[in-house]
Amino acid sequence: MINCIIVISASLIGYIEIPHLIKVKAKMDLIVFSLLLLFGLILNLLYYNGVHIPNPLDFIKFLTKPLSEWLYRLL
Amino acid sequence: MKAKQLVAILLFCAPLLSGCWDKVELNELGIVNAIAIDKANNGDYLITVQLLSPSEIASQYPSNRVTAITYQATGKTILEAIRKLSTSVSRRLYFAHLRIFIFGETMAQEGIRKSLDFFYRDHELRTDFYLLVAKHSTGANILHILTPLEKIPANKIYGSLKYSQDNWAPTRTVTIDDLLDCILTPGKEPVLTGIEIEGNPRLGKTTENIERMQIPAVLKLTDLAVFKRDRLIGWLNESESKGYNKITNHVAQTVEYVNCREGKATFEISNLQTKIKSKIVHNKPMMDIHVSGAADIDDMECKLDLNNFKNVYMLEDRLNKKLKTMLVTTVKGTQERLNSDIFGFGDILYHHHPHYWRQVEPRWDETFPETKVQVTVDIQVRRLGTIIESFQ
Amino acid sequence: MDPNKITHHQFIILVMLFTIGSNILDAPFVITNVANQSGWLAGILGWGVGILLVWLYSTVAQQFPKQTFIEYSQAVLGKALGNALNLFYVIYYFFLSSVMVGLIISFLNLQILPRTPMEVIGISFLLIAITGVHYGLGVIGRSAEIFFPWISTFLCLMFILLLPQINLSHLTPILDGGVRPIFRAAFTFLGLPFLELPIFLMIIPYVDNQKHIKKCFLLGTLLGGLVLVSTIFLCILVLGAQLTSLNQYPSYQLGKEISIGNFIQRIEVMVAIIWILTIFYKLSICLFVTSHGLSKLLHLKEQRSVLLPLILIISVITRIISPNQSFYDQFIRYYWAPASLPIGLGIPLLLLIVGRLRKKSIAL
Repeated sequence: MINCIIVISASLIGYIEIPHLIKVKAKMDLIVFSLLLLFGLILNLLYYNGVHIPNPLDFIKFLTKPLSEWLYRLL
Repeated sequence: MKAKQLVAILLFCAPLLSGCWDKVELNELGIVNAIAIDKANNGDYLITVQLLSPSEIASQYPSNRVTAITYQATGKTILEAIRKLSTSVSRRLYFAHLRIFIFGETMAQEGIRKSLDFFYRDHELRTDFYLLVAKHSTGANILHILTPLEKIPANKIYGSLKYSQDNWAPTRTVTIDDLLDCILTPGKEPVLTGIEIEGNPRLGKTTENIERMQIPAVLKLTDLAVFKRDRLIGWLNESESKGYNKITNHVAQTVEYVNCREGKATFEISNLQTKIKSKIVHNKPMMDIHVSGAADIDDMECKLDLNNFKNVYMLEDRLNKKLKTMLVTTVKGTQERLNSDIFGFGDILYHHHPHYWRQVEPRWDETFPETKVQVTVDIQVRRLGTIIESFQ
Repeated sequence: MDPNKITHHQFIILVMLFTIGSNILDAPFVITNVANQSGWLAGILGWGVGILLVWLYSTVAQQFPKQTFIEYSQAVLGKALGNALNLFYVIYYFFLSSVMVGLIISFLNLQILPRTPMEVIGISFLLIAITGVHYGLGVIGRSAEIFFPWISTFLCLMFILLLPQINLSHLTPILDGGVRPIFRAAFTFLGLPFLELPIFLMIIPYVDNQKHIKKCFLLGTLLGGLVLVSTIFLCILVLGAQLTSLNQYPSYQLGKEISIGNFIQRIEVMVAIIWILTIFYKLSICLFVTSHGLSKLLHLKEQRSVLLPLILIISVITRIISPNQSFYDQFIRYYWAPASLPIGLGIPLLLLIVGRLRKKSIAL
């Protein structure tokens, strides 16, 4: 059910945008658009099928941890 | 053309799409008016809710069915018990109109902090309901009493609590914000008003209670329940309750009498203002309580010539002395008998002398009973009523 | 006519809404948690430093009046380094937009629509914002102008109606825990709106009146900061530091406290309206900058080609980045301000210095 909704909405987005992008002959746009759409589609499918996706904020946390600890100790 | 079509479709869809996911119709709601929490025998929570019966309240031709219904359930946690109620109530319980919240006495003695979390955390509850403690009774028994003047028992309690705080003063309206503030602030302990059943509780549960002229069982607000942290540790008496409210500046109006020649004179006191200042004398805290206000003579039952202004001053002096004694005994009583800083002396110290407070905070339990208190009362008699001389 | 053109009035309003958005509910809680009843001092301190930062941003913008951030960072720092920074910039605002959607969802889901699925709230919000972005910055600016009187009326009303509930003793003792908590709270507060403000480096070139840009930017931040600081102040005055840091949304709780003669009460939804409107504009601006930046970065012909896929991505990222409220709280309290430092301080300073040094060699 949820997979159906995701695929339908993704193809709807494709259906809205792709003819327009082909008409204006924007090749780069088309590539970026398709990549992003594909990325979104896969991300959605993975997430709603219970695959654990690592939290990007954890990565940011990891990167800023030394800075944050230093600053808050300083202040 | 295309735009027109689009607008037509949108206009057609709009009425169908309105409304929202979370809609609940009024007739699906069970409006909770009062709630009581007790400890069941096995240590679980026993929750009693009082629901309104809207059809009885609004109906033009009242039948003799009751206007409010109570349901009970037990559970290991508050929310579990509340959800268990759904096995007996046919509607979704709706808490936004909660008026009265009663703790059973044993429940209060064992600590109320744990049971409060749900009521502050849940989004549906507002913070304007009043909290009370059942005296010599369980909260459930209180909610079972029917009241004659108000169709809804909880509204009766709510009304008399408000009226009595404004005009008589031994009671106190406490909302969950106030209570949490007292529990969380170091150097400040909570109080709640007590409520008890006077008369025959068994008759009070039946419609007989609202059919007679002289009511078999009356719900009566009593004196203040004193807590330490979140546990009930004792009760103030009536005079102490009034004194407490005066010290904490929560009195709008009250009545006080003084003895005079062969009778008594009663004052109505208004505009009471209390200011508490703190000092540190010889490394000991000292509280300076200053009460000011205005009094009117409303009931003169003694033989005293009020045309002589000296007599008025004499009465004024007696009134001030009486109030002073009352406040001093209130503080003394609390310090010696209960040792719970309900006046918030510690909090006042923290605000005025933060460094000193940090020293005494760990041993405030020993310091509070030894805190010296100085009371000055300055109430002036203004009006003497519509007649000057008494006809006694 | 360029659909992205906005007037300088609209620019002031957008800056102000961006500053208020989301932080009016977040900041009081975060700040009083650290600085207790002296939180308002931290607020003022953060506000002051924030204004200095805005002065820095507008100086950078004035160096290259006709260009957006993406364009001049390439020109100033060279293609490789410039593009790397641009990518960082776009990703930062991409995450900020996801955070905004997450905030809207958690607030509405908690307080108003508890049983509506989170996706429905998030996607309907995103769809409206994306429509605005699709029609260009001009539409966002003009609609902000329409809603601005509403927001300011509600804000003033809230402040005035709360005056009877004020308890001055909540403020004492001032500076109880020393000055360190104040610096700490001020730094966190700095990250909440002020370090995010370089977002307007992408928008400034579209403002019609370039001469007054510095004044407008400063004025918008000043007003927005004023609203935030007074909200913090009121939270402490009305609720006290204890209850403020207990509540997740203290300013919503403030709305619940309004009660005048048992007659004007239960109007906390007014606060919710302020919040939803301001966060909507914040989200729109973030989305505009994300999509506009991305299309500039990749030399796309049209900005709209990235918009719709963004909905798909953001609606999931939102769910992934805030698995629960306490994770999010901890993140904004300890990591958001440091994580914003490169965007909010490093890059503008770098651009300013290198720009000054290379001024002659770059033909603008």
